[in-house]
Amino acid sequence: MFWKSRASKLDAETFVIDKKKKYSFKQIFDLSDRYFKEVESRSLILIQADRDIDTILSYIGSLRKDSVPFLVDSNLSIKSLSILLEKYKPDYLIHKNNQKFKNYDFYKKIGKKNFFKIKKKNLIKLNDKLCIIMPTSGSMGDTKCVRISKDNITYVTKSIVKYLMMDNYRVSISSLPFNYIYGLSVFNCSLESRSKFVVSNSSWIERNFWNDVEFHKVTDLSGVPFMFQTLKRLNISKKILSNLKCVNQAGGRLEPNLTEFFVDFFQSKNINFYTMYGATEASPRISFVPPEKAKEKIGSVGIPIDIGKVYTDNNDKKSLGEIIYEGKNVCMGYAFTRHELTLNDVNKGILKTGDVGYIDKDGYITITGRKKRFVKIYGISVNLDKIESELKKITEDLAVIGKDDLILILLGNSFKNQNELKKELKNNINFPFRAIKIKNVSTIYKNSSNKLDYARMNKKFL
Amino acid sequence: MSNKDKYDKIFMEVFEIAHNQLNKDLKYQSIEAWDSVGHMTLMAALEEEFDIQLEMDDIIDFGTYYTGIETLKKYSIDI
Repeated sequence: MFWKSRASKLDAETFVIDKKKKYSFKQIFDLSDRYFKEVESRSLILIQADRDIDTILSYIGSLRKDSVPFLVDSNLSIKSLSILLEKYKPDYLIHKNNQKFKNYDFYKKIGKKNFFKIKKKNLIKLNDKLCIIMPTSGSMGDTKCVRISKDNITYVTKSIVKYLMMDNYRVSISSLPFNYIYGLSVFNCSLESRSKFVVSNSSWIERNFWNDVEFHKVTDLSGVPFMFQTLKRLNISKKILSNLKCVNQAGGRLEPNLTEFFVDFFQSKNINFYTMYGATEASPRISFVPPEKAKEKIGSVGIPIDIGKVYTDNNDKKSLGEIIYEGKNVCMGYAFTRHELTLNDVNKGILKTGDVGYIDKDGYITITGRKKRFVKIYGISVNLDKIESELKKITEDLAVIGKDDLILILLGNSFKNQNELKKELKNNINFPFRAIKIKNVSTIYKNSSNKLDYARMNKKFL
Repeated sequence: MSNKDKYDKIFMEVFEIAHNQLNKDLKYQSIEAWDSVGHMTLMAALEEEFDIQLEMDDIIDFGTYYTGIETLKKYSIDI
């Protein structure tokens, strides 16, 4: 397991670089262990995830104490946070806020963060196999999490390290948040391969980020589609390019012509570019496009990773249908409250992805759409039905439709108070409000059985 | 509409803010809407409105409502 100490000289080498400060693997392990000394094993630990050293120590400390880390969005409103506390009753809470949380006592400091302990000990025991729980979406008031086992996370991390050909000379950077499984996976891979990890809380459009990339000779960059749209406009310096070895993209569909642009660009600089596909439920990786096939397979999300297989639910298992993934990294199941954390694996290694697509003669997957009403907003899965049902508490006369990076709320004639809707939305979503547009329409289309006609509305308004 | 009006309108529309919020305190990450995605939306809107193509350095250094006016001067846009 990547979080365990290894009897290797490598554990004395640099692991985390935070601003100018460097920590070896051993130092990170020792510091985490010290913070978690008195924490009981098999505790559930809710961690406010920032891209900083305190979050890293909290995460590793939890894993090393055989406890279950639950990383959540740093900007989560106090209201959403208290819902999670109520539903999951985490035994510990690690948060920047030093205000009192109901049912929790301040316990001690972890750097800039505060460690709180639950007042009344939980009697509900966590399932022995459970390792991490991860929120699934940015939908409002949604407490749905994925239950990831030790086997899930260790197998998938090894598999990713292998296809990205990572060794201890690589240098990655925190370009994505830790409460997002793709971001966490980048960190896990650094730890598994005993390579370096630079902590930056800047985004791709900030000079600080690129200064860190250049100064620390970063070799690996990871991004979601909107970051690549930005990257196309930025002139990456020659110095940065000379250090880069691997650039990978996941978290949603990148326009094929943009994929082609990056494949050509990075290939000409001898840098491997990977298109990857996954789901939180697959902890998170399902498939990748080997760089040498990238040009030939533009538009495809690649072949399954080496611990799994992929087929469609069509009769011949290849033609257009729902993509099904089978592998050791398919999560144990979902959770909505503490109760489900006691449960065993219900998926048995099989994941119905909800994505529709086909598989070509070489085994490459192409995604053509989604079965359910989910869209990706800046890499986060958002359930349109969930938003719609929440908003219908305010008015029935609306419909929610969307596509990648856009949620469109269609508002019928009978309701005019957009501000009330906006206020409700702002308080309850975990993705940028700008992805939401509200449009007044004369009629909300319905079909003959009086159900909302999404196909017709998508065609007209998206 | 003057260039200043156009400039202000873009900020108000992209970030959904009021005119009285257009001041020296308005800068990158000073409000929730002006994050990295909001920044690129702002850049795209300015480029479209003034028919210019911003350089990478200017995109990265476009840090505040006021300094943005200086940036646009480089492109012969007087606000």
